[in-house]
Amino acid sequence: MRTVQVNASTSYRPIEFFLTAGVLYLVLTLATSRIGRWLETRMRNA
Amino acid sequence: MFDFSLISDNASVLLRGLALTVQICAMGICLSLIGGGLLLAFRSCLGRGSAWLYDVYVTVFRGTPFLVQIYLVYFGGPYIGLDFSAEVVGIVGLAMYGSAYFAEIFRAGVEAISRGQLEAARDLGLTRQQTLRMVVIPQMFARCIPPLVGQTVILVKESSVLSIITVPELMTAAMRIANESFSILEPYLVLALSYWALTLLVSRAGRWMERRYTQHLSLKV
Repeated sequence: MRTVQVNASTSYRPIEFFLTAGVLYLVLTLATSRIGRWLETRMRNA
Repeated sequence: MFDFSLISDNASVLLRGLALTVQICAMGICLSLIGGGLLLAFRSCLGRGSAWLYDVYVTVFRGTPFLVQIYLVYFGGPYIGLDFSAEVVGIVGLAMYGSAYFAEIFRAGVEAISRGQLEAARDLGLTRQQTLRMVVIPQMFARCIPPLVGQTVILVKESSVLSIITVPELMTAAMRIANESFSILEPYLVLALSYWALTLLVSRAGRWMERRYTQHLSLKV
């Protein structure tokens, strides 16, 4: 987040940088929830 | 040592910040509740496409940090013609973020009602509106109170993020006092106590509502 803040303020391009940060966080949370779902099915089947 | 005079000297600044925090939270939470209800109605009433749009909205707002959403609207907004004050961005941002969570809480509350009850209501001759008003909403509301209170507490605490976009709320007031006096302990301790008091108040109100709304129902949540 700090990297994005610095880049957004030095380049005067907040939309591009904060949008990228949003997408990256979204991918991270989706990946975490997918892993959780995979673990859940794996535990249930065991 | 703890310097009480610093707090008493800056009491008005802290109280103004607290008042604004309460105002922003109250407005943001009310709009979140309305938004959550509307989102669920949108999902239930308008076919498959609306369910897909609902999923996208909920995934995006729950999957990205509140800070990123606020930055994007406040700093990115003026580049595309959306130039709002920090307070407006704060309230709208809090409402949009909260409504994604509230919609999911409402959805879980509705889906927890067994199909048998809806069939029984239909067999008794209740119309769709009557079923909604007399069967679905009272039970949904009773089931939803605990998670709604939990989410409200989270939103109250998230409101401190608005200090980043210069909203003069409680966090900003404490930061200002700390910067001006070079005393860290006193203002931030008062800040923590204020947020704790606010969240305690919300959770007490939630417990009172829970008792009030579940005593007439056989369901005890």
